[in-house]
Amino acid sequence: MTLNIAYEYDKVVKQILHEKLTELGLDFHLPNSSEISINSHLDKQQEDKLKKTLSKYAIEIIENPKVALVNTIKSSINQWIAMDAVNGKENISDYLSKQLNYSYSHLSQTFSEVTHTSIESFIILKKIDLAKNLLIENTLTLTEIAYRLDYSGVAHLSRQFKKSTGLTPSSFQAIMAKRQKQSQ
Amino acid sequence: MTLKKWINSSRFFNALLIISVLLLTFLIVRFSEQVKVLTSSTQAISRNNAINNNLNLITTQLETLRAVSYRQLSTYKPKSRTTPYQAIGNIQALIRELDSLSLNVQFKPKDLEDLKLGTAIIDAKVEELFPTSDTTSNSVSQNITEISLSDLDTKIENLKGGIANLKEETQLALLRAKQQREAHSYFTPQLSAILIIFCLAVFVLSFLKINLSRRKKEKANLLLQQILFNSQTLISYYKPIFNDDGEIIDFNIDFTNHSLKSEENETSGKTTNTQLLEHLFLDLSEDLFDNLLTTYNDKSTHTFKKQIKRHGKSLWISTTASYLNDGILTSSIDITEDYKSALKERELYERLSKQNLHLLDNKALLNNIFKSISNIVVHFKALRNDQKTIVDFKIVYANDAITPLIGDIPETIKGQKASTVFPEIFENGTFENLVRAIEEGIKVIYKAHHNTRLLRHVFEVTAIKLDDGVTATMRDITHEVQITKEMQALNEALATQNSIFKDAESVAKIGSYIWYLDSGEAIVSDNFFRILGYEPNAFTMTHEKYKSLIHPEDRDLYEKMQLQTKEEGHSDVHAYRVITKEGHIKHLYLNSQRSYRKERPVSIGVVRDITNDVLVNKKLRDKNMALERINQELESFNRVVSHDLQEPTRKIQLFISRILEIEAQRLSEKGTLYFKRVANAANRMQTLIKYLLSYSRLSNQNEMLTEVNLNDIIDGIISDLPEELHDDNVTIDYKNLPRLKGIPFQMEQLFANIISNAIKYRNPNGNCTIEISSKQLSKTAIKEAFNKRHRHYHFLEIKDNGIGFDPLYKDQIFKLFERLHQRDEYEGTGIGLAICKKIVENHKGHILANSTLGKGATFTIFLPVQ
Amino acid sequence: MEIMKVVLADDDADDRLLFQEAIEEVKINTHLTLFKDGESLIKYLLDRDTTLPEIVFLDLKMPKKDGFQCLETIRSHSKLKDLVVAIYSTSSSEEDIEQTFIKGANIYINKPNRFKDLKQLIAKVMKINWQYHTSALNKDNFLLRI
Repeated sequence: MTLNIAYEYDKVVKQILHEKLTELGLDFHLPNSSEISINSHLDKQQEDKLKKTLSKYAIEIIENPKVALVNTIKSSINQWIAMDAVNGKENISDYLSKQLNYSYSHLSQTFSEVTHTSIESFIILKKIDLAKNLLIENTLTLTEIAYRLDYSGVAHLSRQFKKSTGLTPSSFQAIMAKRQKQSQ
Repeated sequence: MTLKKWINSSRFFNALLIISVLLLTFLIVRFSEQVKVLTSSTQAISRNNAINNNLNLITTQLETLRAVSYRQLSTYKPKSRTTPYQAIGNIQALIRELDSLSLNVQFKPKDLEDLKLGTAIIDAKVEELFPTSDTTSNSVSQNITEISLSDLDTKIENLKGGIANLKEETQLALLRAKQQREAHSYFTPQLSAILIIFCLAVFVLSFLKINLSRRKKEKANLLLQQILFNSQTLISYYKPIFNDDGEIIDFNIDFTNHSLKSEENETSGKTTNTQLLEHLFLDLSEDLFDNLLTTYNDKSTHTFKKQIKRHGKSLWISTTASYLNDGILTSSIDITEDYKSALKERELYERLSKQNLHLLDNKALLNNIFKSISNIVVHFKALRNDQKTIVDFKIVYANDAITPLIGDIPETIKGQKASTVFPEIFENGTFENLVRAIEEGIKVIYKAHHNTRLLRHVFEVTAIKLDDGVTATMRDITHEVQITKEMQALNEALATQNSIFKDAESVAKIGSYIWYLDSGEAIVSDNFFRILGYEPNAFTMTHEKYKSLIHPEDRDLYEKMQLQTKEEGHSDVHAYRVITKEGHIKHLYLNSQRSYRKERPVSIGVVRDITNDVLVNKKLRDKNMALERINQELESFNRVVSHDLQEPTRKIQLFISRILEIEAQRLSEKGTLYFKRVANAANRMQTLIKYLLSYSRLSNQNEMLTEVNLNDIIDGIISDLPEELHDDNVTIDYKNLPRLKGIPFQMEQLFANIISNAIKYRNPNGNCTIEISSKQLSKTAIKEAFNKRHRHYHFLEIKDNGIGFDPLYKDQIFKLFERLHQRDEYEGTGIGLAICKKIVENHKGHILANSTLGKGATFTIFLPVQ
Repeated sequence: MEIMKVVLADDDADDRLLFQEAIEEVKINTHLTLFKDGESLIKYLLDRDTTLPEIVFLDLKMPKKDGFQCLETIRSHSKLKDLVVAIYSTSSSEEDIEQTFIKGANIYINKPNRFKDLKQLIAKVMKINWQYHTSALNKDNFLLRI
């Protein structure tokens, strides 16, 4: 049997970090899922121990500050996407520069440099990924999904979906349904 | 009951006898008692006398002693006759005797002891006075003194006193004994004698009396038996016999005077005391037992009759059984004679009444016959002239059947002359026939006609002589004649029909049969025989025979058919093969139906020679298979084309693109141009192949229909359009398109082709607007002619404002490889719209296009609502 | 971006050559291993010493073991089932496309007609695949048709 699971990456990571850091007896707080802010100085021994513990969960301490920034950007984007769109959303560039205290052009440049992808295409990728999850869940109509993901309409979502995946939302949905049926 | 009678009755004597016996017994007991008492008192008296005697002797001895002593004193003679010792010794002996006498008597032991003591004292005194013999001679005299003698004397006196006491006592006892004897003498001997004599007298009297009555009884008994044995009535007395459970299992015949028994040379005495069931001398014993049982249980009287056989004679016995003294008394009388006479009487009566009835029946029957038969019966009496020649007839009788002929009831013509009622008889030969019947005395049968208002009747007349007259019985055969005619006509028609049918059978290669399911016989038509290759009726058709003609491979099938037909009258097997006489294989098709012929179950059926059909079918099937094979080949060809042809063209394009990229600098202008042309050609070829492939794939799609939302489809198509078109004033309007059942990607292809067609042929000088609208129409509202198998259709319209086309070509544009334009003008393969048509047809719909040149085109699609 | 390990199984020598040239020209660090048929590919993948590639390109029409069979093997094998599989085929049959996706392919690539297109699509596949590896995207939903 196959169980389909959905999880929120950020929450999982935060939960793991919280547990493990508490175990190690550190005074910390987690501003977002890609940063750990520790209030005291870590000696070499403590740092190794922390690295070792987290590596079990494939969580790595990034040495490169650019990579670290990209991760911060990514998690900020995730938060931005998850934000309720009812009252109108802030522009992503405004949001990011406000959140991370860097100019948007700097963030954008760093992001492309590290990921070979623009922030915009990352956002699309992320939103389409969310749309996929919703299509598989099959509880919302395409119109509702479009609305939820802040698209101007079904056509807009469909176009972007097709561009991103090469498939229309309905054929994606059909394929996934058949795939699930076959694996059962 | 008077006293005298009572005294004379045996019961009185019996009582008397018992009283006397009791009295005697009482007396004997009393006497024996008295004797016993007397004996004991006599003994007591004699003993007391003896004691008294004894006491007297002791007193005497004491006196003797006293005298001896005094003599001693005075005479002094030591050797006297009687010595004191002797006296003492006597006394002592007497006392011992007394002792033994009074052993079981009345003395107080003390008295006797006192006596003994006194004796001992005296003895001692004597010893003292008179020493023993060796000393006596000298000293005795010295001891004897007056004093001592007086002392002895006193002592003796004392003892005498004691004895007197005893004597007194003895006298008392004697008196008592005497009194006792007196007391027990109740009866004096005289009284006893009187009593005994009385008893004896009673004895004798009683015996005489009893004997007398017994004799009387015997006499009466004898008389009764005499009466019983001489009686015709059978009298028996039965006693029930019980088993352990207290049920009556049999009766004991205690007595019978069985007169019937004696006929069997057995005395009636033997019959008694035998058990009923063992003694089966009567046929009625079984019944008798039940009857006796009922009688016994009810304690009532029953009478029952029974017929028995005895020496070949049948006897009727009436038996009355009544309960008597814990048994049953039956008396049976032979009532045979009474019974027989009654029976005879009844038989006679029955016979008579039967005869009577029969007569009545006959009468009624005759009446009824005459009344109800359709035949007319008329009796004519001959009327003769002076020469004794019959000149006319008088109608004596006519039955009701004549009414329709004369138009009135028969009574109106009775007594009339035939010449007045039936004048025609003198003309049509009837008269002569009737005369002939009388004169020749023979039965004449002839036909006669009689016209009524409605119809000309035809009669068959039988004339029979009776006395000097004739009875004519006329049967109206008008109807029969008509029916015969009709039958003839019908027969002719049938014969014609039959021959037509036979011809039809042979023309249609049909044979028919009737198969009798019970016997297996079959009647088959001539053509059936011909189908089988035989002359008609060449053999008798049976099931077995027919089976032998069945093709061996089809025999099992035929068996099944036969079985089903037998059970159900028809079968689901219809086709099988036979082998004809000439050895040809023929295919037959059979249809049968169960029915009844003359109440026999039959299966009626028709066989058709379908050999030709089968052969044609087989050819068709072969062709179909060949077609299928070709199709498959085509399909695989398509696959080869799709893949293997696409590959080289793709490679050409790829490598040319590579050359143009890498070698751009080194190629001459012409070289570059040619390479570009090659790439173009390869490109076109690839497109062509792709389209061809998708077109051919459409024909063998067996995909399941799923729900397709056309809005989503159009959405997808729009999102698929090249980016530049979105900015190029191309607008596609659509809303509320239906959901329908279809193959999703075919639907997409359909609309994509039409839309891309519209874009391709858009007006070069303006906006491109495409409007898609839809509605639902019922089948009847659609004017366009196509095979409408569904009730409702989606009506979809795609309207553009492009260059349009000449309506002349509206059908042509859907044909494969048809192009309305030069290739240079508009690129195209000529497949796109053909694919559209095919997709719509795949979905059981219809597509058409309309346009006015220069004013845009409209594509209309009908798709079924499912 | 670190070095990406890529394998391609294709019986067509031309296609292998062009694919290799294209991937070399894409400005992404890759390490490409080529196979002539499905069987040798599976053998390689199941070898203990093999470091599993980031992405497997599979031609559908191959001798010995074709693309469908390879796909089935990969998806049913515990060690290989998480591999990203890209079908690289001439066929544009809707049926083929749907079936491979249903059977678990992540990417379906129609072999392009122009070398430029080939380079572009390889770059695109690499980038998206990389995003899937690094950006917490649901790999189970990874479907891409080019």
